[in-house]
Amino acid sequence: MVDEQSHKRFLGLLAAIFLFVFLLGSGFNYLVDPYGLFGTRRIDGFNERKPAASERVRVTKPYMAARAQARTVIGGNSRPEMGIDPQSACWTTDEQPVFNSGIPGADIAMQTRYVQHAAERGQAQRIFFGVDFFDFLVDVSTMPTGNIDWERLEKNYAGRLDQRTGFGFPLSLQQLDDRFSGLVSLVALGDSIKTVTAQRDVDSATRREDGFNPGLDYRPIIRNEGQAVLFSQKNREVRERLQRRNLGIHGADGQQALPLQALRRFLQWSKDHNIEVVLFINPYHADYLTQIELTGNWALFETWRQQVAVIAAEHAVPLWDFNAFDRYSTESPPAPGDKRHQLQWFWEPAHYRQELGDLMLASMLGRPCGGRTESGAYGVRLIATTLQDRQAALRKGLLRYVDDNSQVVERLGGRVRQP
Amino acid sequence: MLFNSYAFLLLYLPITLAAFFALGSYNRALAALWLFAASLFFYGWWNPAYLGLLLGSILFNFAAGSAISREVHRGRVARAKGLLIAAVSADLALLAYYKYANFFLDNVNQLLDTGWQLGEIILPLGISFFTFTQIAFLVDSYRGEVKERNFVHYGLFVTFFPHLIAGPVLHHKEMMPQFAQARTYRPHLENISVGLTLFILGLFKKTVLADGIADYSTPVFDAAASGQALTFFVAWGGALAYTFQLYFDFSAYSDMAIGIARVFGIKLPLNFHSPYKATNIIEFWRRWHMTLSRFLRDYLYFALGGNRKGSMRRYINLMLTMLLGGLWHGAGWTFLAWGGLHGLYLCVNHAWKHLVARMGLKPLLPRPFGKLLAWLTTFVAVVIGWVFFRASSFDAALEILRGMAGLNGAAVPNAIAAQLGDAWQLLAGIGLTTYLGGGARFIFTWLWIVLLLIVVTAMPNTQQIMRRFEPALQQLDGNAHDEIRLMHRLYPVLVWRPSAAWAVATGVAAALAVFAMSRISEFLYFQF
Repeated sequence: MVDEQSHKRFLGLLAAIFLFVFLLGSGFNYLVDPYGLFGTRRIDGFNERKPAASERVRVTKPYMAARAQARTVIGGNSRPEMGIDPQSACWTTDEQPVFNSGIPGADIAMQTRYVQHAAERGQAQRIFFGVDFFDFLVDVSTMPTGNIDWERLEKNYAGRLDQRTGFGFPLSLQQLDDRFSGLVSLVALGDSIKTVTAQRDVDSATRREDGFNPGLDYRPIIRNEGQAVLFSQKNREVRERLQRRNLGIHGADGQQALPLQALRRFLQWSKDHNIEVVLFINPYHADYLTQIELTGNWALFETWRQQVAVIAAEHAVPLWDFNAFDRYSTESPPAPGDKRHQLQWFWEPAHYRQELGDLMLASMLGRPCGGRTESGAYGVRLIATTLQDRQAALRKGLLRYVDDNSQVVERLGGRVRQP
Repeated sequence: MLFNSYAFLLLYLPITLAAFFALGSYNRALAALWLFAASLFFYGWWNPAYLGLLLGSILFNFAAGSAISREVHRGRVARAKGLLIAAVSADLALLAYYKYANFFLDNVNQLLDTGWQLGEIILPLGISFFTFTQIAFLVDSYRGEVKERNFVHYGLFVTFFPHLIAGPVLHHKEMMPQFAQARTYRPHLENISVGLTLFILGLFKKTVLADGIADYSTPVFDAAASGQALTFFVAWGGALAYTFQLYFDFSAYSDMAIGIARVFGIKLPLNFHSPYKATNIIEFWRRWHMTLSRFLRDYLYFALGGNRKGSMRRYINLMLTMLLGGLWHGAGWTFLAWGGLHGLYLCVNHAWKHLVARMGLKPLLPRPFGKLLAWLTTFVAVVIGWVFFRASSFDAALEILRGMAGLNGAAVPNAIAAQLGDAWQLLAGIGLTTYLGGGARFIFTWLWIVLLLIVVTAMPNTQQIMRRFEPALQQLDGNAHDEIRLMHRLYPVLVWRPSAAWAVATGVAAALAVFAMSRISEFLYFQF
């Protein structure tokens, strides 16, 4: 028979241990800050790299942006997030700090809202916003028509961006929840341990405090499996996406679909807030551009480029075009099994490296940067009068590339038969 | 309200418990009423609209049960039987409307090419559980086995919040007397430490283990539902992950229910007893969702005649019971297939036992191998059953089974193949191929599976760990002949006592379980 005292001691010790482990775990999560949520000081060898942050970007970037107080903000999806480096030698002191607000896989509405948040928190003067064909594609048959309820669209993340709580309390419920989950969570604890143990791995994925994704996690794949694997996987994804039915950029009522409207809304906001915006169309590898043609979407691609140009012109915003069949985009991916060679300008068909991003910046900023002399050599600024010529040149480049590279067409799976 | 929610842990449970014992020291009837009201609040938290349905069902069944008892005592058995049939029919009609009406209409529409619609019917939480417990009460009223007639105790027996939503399926005979005992209304440190430990073990099983492995089963079943062809390892990985997810999810709920009830001084019946250790399917059903099995046996199988009318009728009754048991879990052909499959398994098992006994067959394999083979056969049969249970459609289930049978080939992630060096050439030689991406997912899927397989086959279960303090109404040891026993000698070492070592272990488990709660998810058995 066990006496009551034993149970009393048991319960007391149980409560004490629970509290101890609870506080220890929460404290550890705060110190390591595996997602960059709290802005705890990054210490080399302890928590400098944030491998787990890559899966929590949507949660943590608003907090990073608030801390960054950026004068220049980069926006868009994962392509500018990996390609445009806030620490590039291209930026002058006046333009810094620079924050990269790119959100992988986000729609245009979210991308623009995150950029607005970063710009507002830092009172930024300039935004570089990368637009991407895929982000504007909708299923015409299901795209809602009529007025868009923007508040409803943002309800899942607005609490992170909006500082007004209505009760004079400094944090919204969502911000409280984010912080609580970052401290009291087994997943966070696992990620904290992973963060500390990953510090010796120079190829560990990370998000820098300035929001940039250096793409380090691609390196071990290239080293162990070869870059052909990255190309193969992305090409398959691109092809699947482009083969979906009812793709378009307008709704069934003929009006611009939500993504185009979100872009227009964003540019109007920047005009109202007197913030300069530079739009740019992300560069794609030739594989990617060829897939657009092979799946029968080239006309849609041209329409999209034209629509973006129209919207940019309406708001007097410069639009840079980096789509081309040039020496940067037509590098051939290494053969399967080749683990030694890799491309200079692209990670895979959809994501360009920061070296190419630097060339883009040199063009958009109109000055050589970091000792480079290629300013103005890469990309073209699209204006209404030259748009058609540019479209024709790109189409010509495509046709020549397809004619000259039948092995590429074959590798990509050939031309899709239209129904 | 979920057991694994902060609202329950930080507010509902402490307030309900403190007020119950405070009122209990003053007036037991008031304390029982409080617990009844608190249980209704627990139910209403999910959807207050269905609170009326629950209360109406309780009032109706209590009145019907009282009337049946009265007629039985007056010797008017035919009248009592009429009342019983009417009341049970009303209960089943309610259940049929909420749970099966749309399923029935969908099938009629398909068959007759009609378009009848009833609109969306939201299934009231726990309706299958509170309907069955009350049908048992009605039947026992007719059998003259109901002794106590206190409405609050009856209401409490039906709604007592630890079991209300996902069981165990209680029996009034084992519950109502406990609500009548004076000691129930006084706090006991032993009950609190035993109950809390059971609850923490359950919470750990749910939030850390079940929710942890869920990430690896759901995408596979979703892929099958979208028509993707699954390769061998992916299909088995998904099926096994779900097999463990379901066990740790549901048995966790039972542990938590038993633990919370124990804190209140109430003992609930055991609901799980290491079912995945069973070496035959009959034994599996003695260990899985035991209170439902008991209900189906006592109120359906026996009512159909059980084994009293010859072996053929026995097999038919078994099939019918399992088919209806399948349908009880959900209105869908996949649940019916799952029930039918288990009915078939049970028939084969009984027939085999009968054959062995009759012909005096001797085992072909040495005992350890024979037992291992029996366990493996039982386990694989159960896993195949769970594929139907989990799949969103028949086609999705067949897609997974095709993958498990190797009909879509076997493949491993390219990243893993690249690490294998020359060994990969051998594997490629026997037909293994590779696919891009998913390396980490593949590794973690199989790490989880191996870890949880060890836990379910080699570790003692919760009631075995807590055995010194009689955690549940029954105490089971298991039959060495019908279960695999690995590391069984270690069991005595792991028996719980209110010691410093257990306080440390339980405290760490509690902290980890609370840490894992930040990803709120519902219990699987809520849908039944």
